[in-house]
Amino acid sequence: MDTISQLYFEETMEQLENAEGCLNEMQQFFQPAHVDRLFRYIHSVKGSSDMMGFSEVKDLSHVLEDLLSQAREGKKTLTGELMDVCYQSVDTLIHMVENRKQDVHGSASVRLISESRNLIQQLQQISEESSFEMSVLREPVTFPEEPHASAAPVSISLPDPAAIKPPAPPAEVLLPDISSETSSPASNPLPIPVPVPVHRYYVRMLLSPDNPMTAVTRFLILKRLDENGVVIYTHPSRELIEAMTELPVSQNLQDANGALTFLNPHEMVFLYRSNLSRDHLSRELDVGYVEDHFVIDLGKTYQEYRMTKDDRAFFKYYFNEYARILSSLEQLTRQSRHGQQATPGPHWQKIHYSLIKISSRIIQLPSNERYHQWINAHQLAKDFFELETTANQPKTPALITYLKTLLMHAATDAWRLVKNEVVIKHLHLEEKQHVLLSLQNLSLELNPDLHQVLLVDVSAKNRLLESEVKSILSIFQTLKEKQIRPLLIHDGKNRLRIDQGTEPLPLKSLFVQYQYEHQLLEKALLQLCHHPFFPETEGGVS
Amino acid sequence: MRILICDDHDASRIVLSKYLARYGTCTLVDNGAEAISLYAESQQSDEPFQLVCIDILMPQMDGFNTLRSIRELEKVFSPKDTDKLKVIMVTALDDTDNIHQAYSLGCDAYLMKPYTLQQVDDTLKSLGLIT
Repeated sequence: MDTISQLYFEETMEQLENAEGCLNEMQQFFQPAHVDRLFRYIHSVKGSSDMMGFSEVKDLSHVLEDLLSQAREGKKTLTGELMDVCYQSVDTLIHMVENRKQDVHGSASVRLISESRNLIQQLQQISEESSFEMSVLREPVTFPEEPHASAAPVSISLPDPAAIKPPAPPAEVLLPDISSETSSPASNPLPIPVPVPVHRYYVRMLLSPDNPMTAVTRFLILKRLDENGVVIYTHPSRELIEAMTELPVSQNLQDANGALTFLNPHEMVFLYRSNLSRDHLSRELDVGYVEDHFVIDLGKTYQEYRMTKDDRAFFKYYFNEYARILSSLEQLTRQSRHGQQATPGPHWQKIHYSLIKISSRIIQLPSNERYHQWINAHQLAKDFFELETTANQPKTPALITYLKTLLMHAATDAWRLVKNEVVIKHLHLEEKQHVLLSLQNLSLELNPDLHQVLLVDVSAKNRLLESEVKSILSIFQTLKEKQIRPLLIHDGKNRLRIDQGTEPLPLKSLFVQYQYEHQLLEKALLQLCHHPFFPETEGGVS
Repeated sequence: MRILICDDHDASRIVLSKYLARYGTCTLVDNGAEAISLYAESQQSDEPFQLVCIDILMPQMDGFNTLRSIRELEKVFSPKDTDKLKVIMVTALDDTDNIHQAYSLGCDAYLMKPYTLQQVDDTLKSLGLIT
């Protein structure tokens, strides 16, 4: 046992014994100071157990502490039944710490923990009970001169962060004829400042087609997300998911709002705010029957995570080398399968060279947080390989399979890095740039496999002519055939005015106005989600 | 009584089903995802499952994740506390952390492998499923 755990056991046992003594004293002569002392003991037990990772001790002491803090504030009186529960809890805590000290496993542990769950339930029940009658009973027991005795017996419950959802940011739409004031800052006065989750994600997942209960999987995913953050948008709609009805394939594609026609019936889309990291979120989404998913960090994709030309060149190179490695591995597997001795031969050498080549190029990548995970995966494969190269043993099929798995991990990561990057294409138009020409060129370049959303920033322009808008619409029509979703975005500073002539122009659903750059992507995606692919009828803006 | 047994190991799945066959009809699955969908299906049928036995160490979706999902679904299907589904974790893991995690995710009993017929009976009795 190391010194830290030794210290922990000594200290915690002492505190728990003190707590027990405190309870004994309270039985004989009640004093509010006892509650304070008891509270402090339990509080420090909670803290130290949490630090040691003994979560069962932490959980019970946490609930007990909650109850004691209510007693301290005068909302509960420690009498009769409540005292019994406190005794039992402290007793169980002592047992649990003893168990940890002697490293007891098995059925003894099971018994103790199931007991502690019961106690936790009891304690929680008592905590939730209304305490008005109690407060009357309390008067003769406590000392009137105690300053906190006069505290009103109104329970102040902390707001459940999940219950208060910041309203979804309205997708401000720049109507064709708006030329005066643009928008008010999105100030949503909340009664209590709730920490807004920091990360913003765009999550898209493909569910497995052979899932017998797709609706259930959808529901579970939504619940998981709700637990850890705020879901701003879902597709299919929240009502449909919560009703847990199986969606027929055809209806799914063209739902009542006519939205999201580009989605496959087994896909789900979320806009999501959370404090979870991207990796953690990916893990959280694993509820079975999910074929694939990707998570785009909206805060980062656009600003930091922009691949440069060099990065692209690197990954192209990487995948080429990787193909070579794989074919060499294939040869090795065949050799070992045919009973030949697969000693380090030319193939082994080739793989080694390829790995070294890749590693030497990794240095050229910008030291970006984004690449860490992938670089680690690659480095692991390389280290493993080099270890095996020096060990002069025959290479078994199992070893080769393991190596393949390691490399596969790295390659999957790399693939994701490249893939996630190009879903959104962002084009910023300069002031004098000709809208039509640049758009026409772009629409030829775009590849529907790589790009799914095209954002055209027209902030630098201060005027669009009717004829231009018409042409934009026709270009967007070709994009629609390619299944790429276009949007015009504008920061509202130059007061974009659309010269609409006599006809109203069908641009409403294609315009997004943003105020701060960091909101841009989220707003754009929201807009895409709330509006059909493309205005169906010309002049259909009401 | 309908019983759902979820274990990726063939032998232990069959042994448990033999033990439990005296008390009800057993449905056997070998992964968590399937268990969840079967559970959801049964909730919409006339005779829902009353008991689910889940192994913890399973490939892809582990027992904790399965248990958590089932409890989440239960809140929707049967919000009343009365006929709550009983969940037994059947596993060879015996350390306190795992036991605690299982209980905090809402399992009703924890059965450690290897178990005897007597232990299975005792567990069911403690859950009030048999007398």
